[in-house]
Formats: sequence, C-alpha cells, structure tokens
Amino acid sequence: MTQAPEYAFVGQRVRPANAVAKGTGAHKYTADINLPGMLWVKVVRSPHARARIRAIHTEEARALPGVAAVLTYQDVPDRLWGANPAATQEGERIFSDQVNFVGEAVAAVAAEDLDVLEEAANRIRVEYEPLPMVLDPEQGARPEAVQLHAYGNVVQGAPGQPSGQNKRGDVARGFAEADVVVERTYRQLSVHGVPHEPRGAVAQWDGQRLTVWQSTQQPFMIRNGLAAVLGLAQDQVRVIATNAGGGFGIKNSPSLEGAIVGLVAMQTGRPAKIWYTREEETLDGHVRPGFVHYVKAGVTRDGRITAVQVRSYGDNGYWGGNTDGATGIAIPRDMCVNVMELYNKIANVDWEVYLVRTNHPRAGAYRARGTGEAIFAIECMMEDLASAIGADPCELRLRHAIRTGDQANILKARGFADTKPVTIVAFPDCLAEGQRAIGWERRNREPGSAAGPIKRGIGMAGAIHVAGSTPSLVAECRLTIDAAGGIRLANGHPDQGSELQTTLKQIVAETLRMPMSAISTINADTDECPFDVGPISSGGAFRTGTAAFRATEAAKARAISLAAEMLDQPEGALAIADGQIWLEATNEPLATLAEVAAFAGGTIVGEGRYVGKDEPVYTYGFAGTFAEVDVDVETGGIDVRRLVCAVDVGRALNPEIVEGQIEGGVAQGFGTAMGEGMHYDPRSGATLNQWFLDLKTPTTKDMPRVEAILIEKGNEGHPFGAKGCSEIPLVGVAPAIRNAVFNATGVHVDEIPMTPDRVLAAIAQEATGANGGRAP
Amino acid sequence: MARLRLSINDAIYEADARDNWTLNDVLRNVLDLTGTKRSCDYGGCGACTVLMDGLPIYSCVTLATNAEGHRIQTIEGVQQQGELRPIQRAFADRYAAQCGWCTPAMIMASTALLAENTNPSEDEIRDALSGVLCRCTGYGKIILAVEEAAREMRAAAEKGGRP
Repeated sequence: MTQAPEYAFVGQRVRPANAVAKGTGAHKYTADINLPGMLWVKVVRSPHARARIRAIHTEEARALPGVAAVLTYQDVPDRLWGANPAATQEGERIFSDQVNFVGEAVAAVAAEDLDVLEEAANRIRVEYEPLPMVLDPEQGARPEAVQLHAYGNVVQGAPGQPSGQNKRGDVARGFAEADVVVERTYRQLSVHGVPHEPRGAVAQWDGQRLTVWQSTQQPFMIRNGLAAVLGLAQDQVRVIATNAGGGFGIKNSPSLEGAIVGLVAMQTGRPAKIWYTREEETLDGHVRPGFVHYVKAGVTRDGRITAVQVRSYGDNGYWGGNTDGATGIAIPRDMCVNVMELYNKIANVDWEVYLVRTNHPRAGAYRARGTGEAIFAIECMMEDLASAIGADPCELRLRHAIRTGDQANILKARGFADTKPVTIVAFPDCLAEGQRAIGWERRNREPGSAAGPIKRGIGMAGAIHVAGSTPSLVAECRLTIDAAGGIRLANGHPDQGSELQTTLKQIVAETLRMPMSAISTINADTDECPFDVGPISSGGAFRTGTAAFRATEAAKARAISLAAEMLDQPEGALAIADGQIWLEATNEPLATLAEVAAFAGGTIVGEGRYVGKDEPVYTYGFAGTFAEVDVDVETGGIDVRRLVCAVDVGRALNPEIVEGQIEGGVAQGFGTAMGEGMHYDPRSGATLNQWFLDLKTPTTKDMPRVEAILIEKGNEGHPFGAKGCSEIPLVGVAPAIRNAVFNATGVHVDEIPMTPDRVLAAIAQEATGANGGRAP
Repeated sequence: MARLRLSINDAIYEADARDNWTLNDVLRNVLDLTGTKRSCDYGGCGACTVLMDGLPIYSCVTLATNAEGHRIQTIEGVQQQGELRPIQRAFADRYAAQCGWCTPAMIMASTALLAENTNPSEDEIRDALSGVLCRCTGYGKIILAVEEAAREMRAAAEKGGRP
C-alpha cells in the first residue's frame, strides 16, 4: 500500500467518545458502583510465602454484629478456576488449605460497613505450618531444589527440559566462524503494571443468575472462569466490565475477587462489593516476571552475527497470572521465538527459557508480554556486538532484520503446520525516522570519550511485538440497525483507556458512510455483546476493529438485499450512504435504513468475526526507540533528556489516540528502565515495596516529553491498514537508555532499573576489568 | 456516628460519619460523589485530590470532620451551568484522559493552578501537577491540555468575557 486512501472519519483526530465523562466525574468504574443493601467484602491474606493451614478460627469474627458471611477453604466449592487447568499446569481454587506466596487470599469476610469489616478480618485467626520455600529461580530450576508442584518447578518443562526454546542452525559452527565472541549477563526485575484503579468487583444474585461488575480486561474469560469455579452454567453468569481504570495486562489475571463476592451474594442474597487496597492490588494482581539472561554471541569483523546462545531464568511466582492459564506456555515461547523473529537472518540460535515456580506473587502478562521479558537482553547484545567490531548499531540490526514477505516462524512454534507471510515490515523506516529525529550523527564515535563528569550520549533499540495478529485470538462484533434509525455496535471490549469505542465508531461511520453521531456502541457486557478476548496482544483496533468492519459490511449487504426486495430493484443498482438507500444511476434516495429495518420486521443485523488462525497473513509491529542522556559519573545519576519512539502503526485510525498510546507506553518503559521493579525479602519472600510511592512509577517531574513518530506504510492484514501499537512502545525504552549510557560513558549497565547505585557499581566494575558474563 | 455539615461544590451536604472516616470515604461511600477516586489510600498517588478553600488536598488523608467549615470543590462541581470549562474541553480534545482514573484529580490540580496563573510555563505546570500520578499518558498530552486551556482562558479574559 503506497498511496493511502482518503477517508472521512478513519485517520481523523476525533475526540474520544468517553473523554468528556472522564473529565466530569460521570464515567463509572466498577469501584464506583454502590447498590442498595450492599455488603462490603474483605480478604484475609497470608503472611507466609509457603505454609499449610492447620486451622482457621472464625467464631469470633462470625459473632461480631454486622458480619454477614465468613468464607474459608472449608466453605468454598472444591472446583478449579480455568478452562483447562491440567493442560496449563494451573489449578487454583478460591481458597485452599495451602498458601504459596505472601499476600495469597486465605479467607474473606462480608459485613454491613467498612469498620465492622476491618474488625471482623482482624478477628480471623489462622494457624500456619510453614513449609520450605523456593525464592530464587535459578536455584529452583535445579533438580535438588524443593519441588513446589507435582509437575516440578520449571513451568511446562519435562524433567531437565526448559519451559520454551528456540533452536535453529548450529551455534557451535557459528561460534567457530566468529571473529569476536561477547558474553554478558543481563538482568531485569519483576515489574508491576500499576493500573490506578485497584481491582474490584460487585456481585448481585437473583436466585437464578449472577451478575458481576468487575474491573477486568477480559469479561468473557472471567465469565467462563466464574461459572467453572462456582459450579454455574456459563449462561447463568453475566459479567459487565465496561470501563476499567487501567489494565496494561495486569487485569487479565483470574481475579478470584469476582468469585468471592459472587459466593457472598449467592449465600446471603445481598449485593456484595470488594475493592482492593493498593497493597492487595500489588500482591494479588500479577507482575511481569523478572529474568536473568546469560548471553553469548559471536560476530565477524565484517558484521555478520554468526551465533546467539541464551539461557534465561525467570520468576513465575507460584501461580501463573492469566485467565487462560497460558502464562507458562506463552511467555517462554514468545521470549525466545517472537523476539528472534526481528533478527531472523541470524542463522544459528540456541535459546532456552526456564520460567521457574517460586513462592513469590503471580507472574503474568504486562504490556508486551513475552517481548518485554526478553528484548532488553537482545537489544543490549546488539549494541555490545556492534561496539565490539566498531559497526553502526542501526546498520548491524538492519542487516539481520526480518523483511516484508518473510515467513512467520512463530506459527510453527505454536504447533501450526504452516507458516504465513509477514505483512509489511516498516522497521527500516522506524530506524531512519528515529535517527533523523534524535540527530544520530551527534553520537560519540568513541563511547565514553566526552570530557568532564557529566557525559552525554545517544543510544537506540529496535523492537518487534505482535500487533494484534495472534492465531488463537478471536473478536466478534454485531451491528444492529433499528426501525427508529438507531445504529449500534455491540462489542466485548472494555475501555481500559485506549478509547477503542471511538475508533470503532470511526470504522462503522466510514463503512456505512454515516456521521459518527448516528452510531452508538455497547461494550464489555457478556449478556449484550458477542465474544471478544479483550484488550490483549495489541488487538483492539486490529482484531475488534476488523470484526466491526466485517459486521458493518454484513449489515450493509443485508440492508441492500432487503431494500432490493422492498423497492423491487436489482441489488447492484443500490448503494448506502447517510442513512439512506440510493439508486446509484440517478443518485436518488429511495428509502431510509430505518424503513428497510421496519420492512425486515424491526432490525437489520450484521455480524463480523476476526479469527486469528483463519487470516491469510501475519502482522508484526515494529519500533525504533532512541534516547539522549546525560550521565553524571560521580553520582551515577542518569538524566534522560530526550526519548524518541518511531512506531510502525500501519495506519493511525485516530492519530491523537495512537500518539497517546505511544507516549504512555514509553512512559511505562521509562519507569521500568529507571526505577520500577519488585523487591522481595530474600529470607521471607515478602514483597517489600507494595505501596504506591515505593513502586516508583514516573511523575511529571521525572518524565521527559516523548517524541512519538507514526510510521504509516499500511498493512494488508487489516481493512484500514492498521497495526496494533499500544504495547510495543514500552519495550525498547530500557535498552535505548542503557545503550545511550554506554555511548556516553563506555560503561555497560546490564541491570534494570538503572538506579544510581547500579550505575556506580557498573562504573567501578569496569574500572577493574571485571566482566558480567558467564558461559551459558 | 456524627452528623457532619459539609460545603461541597457550593451546596451544603449532611452526612453521618464516624470520626475515623476520611473525606474520601464520605464523598464516595456516603454521598455517592464517586468522581473523586482513590488509588493508594495514604497520600501516595494524588488520585483523590479535591480543592479545600481553593487549594489541592488529598481527600484520602483528610478526616471528614476536618473538612467542616471549609469550602470543598470536587470534579462534580467543575462544570458551570452544564458547560464544560476550558480545562475539561482541552483534556477531552487532547486525549489527556486515557483510563481517566487520575483525570478528576488532574483537573482539580490544574484548576487550582489556572486560578492563580493563566500563563504557566511548562515547569510551573509540572510542579503544580507533580502530586498527581498518571500511569497512562506519560503526561505530555496533559501538559498540552493545560497549556491549551490557559490560552483559551487568556483569550476569553482579553475579550472581557468570563473564562
């Protein structure tokens, strides 16, 4: 696609549909729902990282006036959450007689008001028998370690086997061909996404059906899980998740809080509400797993990367944190396969990922699942290979990068027989535009050559991530045109901040050739909307947008067919625009869509689906991130002066929103790079920084302005040429800053977050000639 | 329980509250004024920001009884005669609200700034909003929105109209 078509609505900076309500206080989130007669619910949590429960004493809590219910493992159904617990090695119950991390739920109380609730929770006494723990992933992967699970500690791995691997070519031959071999160790902490609305749920039981309002990204997965764990049929459960105060992947965990309030509502017949504190959100949400990567890579003097060998050990926590239970499958696979798709011209790769069960809080998806766990290591490696042979880091990347029309190897790794061609790869454009914006020629030719204690440098990183295109994911939409002229798109997608409802209205308006004001949407209500997997894998505009287009096309075809019958005209003579059926030859309006809907008996309905595995092509997103920093080598402080992020968005359906998603993603990447990360007590396993300020998310005083560049080269995998782009801006930031620090100082800071103490330690280490690497 | 009389958005509200309840508890759980959010419960994030006598405060660490006798403004009182104020319009147009959870607090803090200074520099805006954290936007579009609202207010003042 070279010449972008002209559209009336798609590509315009349309004001977000929910923006006014968000700025007046009228936008209602789960936490804002208060129902008459509602009980408040609170969870009692484990102080132990691993223990068996000997007894729970609840009598004193039950005796307190105003307490309506107390639930422990003895009071909950003996049923598992999740569609396929055996296949995914998961098997969570609402409560059980064993705890596996500090903060795990062991009981719940329901009471008339918050003070009684607090007192009742304090009166629950639990007798624990502490058990041996695993707190270090590398130690936990060894066969002699305490085994936490019947399947062992390495998630998905058979004895001695990794959780995921990517082997191609022959690394031994590759290393033999190398002129230079670089060995380094790169480390990243576990990171919480910190959505600002802590999770919560409200439940109402009418004797037959359960309605749950929940702050989740995946209402349909939650409905299915609730039905399974509560022993209800799926059509007995309605989940409404219209608006969420942030998600970022953190709100697609099983979220048993919905099941807890559901049980309370079913037992008491009264509505029940739970709303986590920040501490609970941190502990019982989930984190991106932290990793240590042992990397060994070889390169020839003329710039050919001959071999890459990586061993990665990650902290899974005990429970995987995704509704589909697929954390243990998806994260290791995407780390070593997806990320190496970016440099698919590297012939010899041997990468093993060990995702190890520990007694820490759950690990799961956080913005760019799989990529964010691995790309820091690979993008640092690319920099270090380039500097080892004196090559330009951008040129070294482009020489090995994926190209338009290459086959998507990820599909074979996922068990599909065939690959598919990759749609347009605008990675070279991302790098060229990023270089131009940052002033790439200003970088130090010799890293660390600047004089004085404050040293300036420029660095970059590439990135690849799924852009909505994933074979297992599905989105459906239904467009209804009624006899009063109303046009409504039903879709299962919560608004977690990406304002997808706006983008969907733009797509429907464009396709129907109607003003946007004529179109309404209803979203994320499992009774009212068709299935959607939700805002995951950058699929909103991509998957749900495609389904919305197809639903509108189907409604149009149905309307034309009905109008042809009603008006006694051939279908080919009719067209739709502005809510009317037109006779094309004379440009004459013959009937309104409302009249056609009335002729049809009340409504015209069109349905559309996106099914990843059935699509003919595969879409990847790409980005180039560039940073300019000043490093104070006396204090270890890094001042990030500029951040440029050029993203291959295909086509921006609403540039205001796309820019905002890029800026926000970069800000979260900045947090990961500079200060965020979970700290666990090495003796007890307890989380040490569960409160807000200690999570170190950036403030207005920390964050530089982000320069977002939209690369719009189209994408034949989407009806309007879009690529999903909300996740990828995060992942290149940390390596770009790290590489800029290297350019400034000549020092490798191989651990994020790059706090001043780590920077100073790296400076001291390199002064003594020590190397962070180890043979994998 | 004690009966409190609170001045909120230029109206008097009566609310039954315990001594240990915060202003945030009373706004959200008693008066159903849920536009004011909470995110951390200890003054660490700013999502609960309201104005007391024109100055931004954290409602989650302010006891409700201590709000008696003061003029409280919340997000529900920012619109005038149903019209959006320039700051609300600018937040909407610039996509300065993504998930929207911090937006009421950001608008309250911005309102306090713009009441004092309709020509703030970027640094002054960053200072004024530094007590409210946003996870979605990276702050760029929020700062643009405050600048845009300030411009609109100055233009209206030059014409002699009410901002």
